[in-house]
Amino acid sequence: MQDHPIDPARFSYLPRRKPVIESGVLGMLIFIFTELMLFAGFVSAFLIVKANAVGGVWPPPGQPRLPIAQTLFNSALLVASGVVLYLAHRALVAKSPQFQKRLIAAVLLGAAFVVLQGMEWVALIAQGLTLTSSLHGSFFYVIIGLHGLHALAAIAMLMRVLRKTRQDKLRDGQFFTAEAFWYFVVGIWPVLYWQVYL
Amino acid sequence: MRFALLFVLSVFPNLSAYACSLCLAENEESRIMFILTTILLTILPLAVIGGTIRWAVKKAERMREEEDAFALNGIRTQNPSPPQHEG
Repeated sequence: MQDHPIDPARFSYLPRRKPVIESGVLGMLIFIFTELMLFAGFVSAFLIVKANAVGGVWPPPGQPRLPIAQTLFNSALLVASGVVLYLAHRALVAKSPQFQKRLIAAVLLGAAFVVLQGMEWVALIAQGLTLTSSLHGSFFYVIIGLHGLHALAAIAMLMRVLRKTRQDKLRDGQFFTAEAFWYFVVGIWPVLYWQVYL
Repeated sequence: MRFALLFVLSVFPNLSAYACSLCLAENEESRIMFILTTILLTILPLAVIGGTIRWAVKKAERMREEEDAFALNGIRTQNPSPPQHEG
């Protein structure tokens, strides 16, 4: 009777253990958490000031009204970029050649959002809503401006991913990290729109 | 200075209430908003941290199951049938 011990060499086909969460993604999640609390703090302060408005009137009289309809269109662009980025994620996982096209589309949609928001700001400043014109202006530019800065940073990360893709040097974790940040930018926008614009 | 302040606050405890934004809110809506935002800022970090941990645990369990299934499949393909004994 012969023994047949398990030959360790037969297990060389086992893949090396991957981390549960990629280091880049974990770091980005921690960063997103801190930024989420930052936005929560600003929005909370805004809500309290709004509730304390004289006569319950908000925005204060004499201040320009925010372009709700135009921003709704911009919001649709931003949400669409999030959806397209998710499709790009699926293409990457399936190793499909559609990944690059979808990534470019997501970046363009996000950039369009930022540009159109910038144009809105120019119009609002011309109408008299500035950082120092009123509490309304202060909160608007701080909260929405902070979101705009995050959007720009996330777009820069996605463009870096695109550059790495073209050089054929992209690691999946790099994309997932940028993707997480973009989902945060897209996900928090409806809350800001609802609280600040409406 | 600290002891003087502590003495004053202990003798006149209601003075510390003037530092409370909620107590001195001008109207009811403002007080309600203070309470609601306090609840939000308390629950939000707990929910985010708890949700992230739960997601990571679920993902780890799923990966372990996949690894076990992969390893088991490998053993079966490497040893499709028991060896024959001689004699």
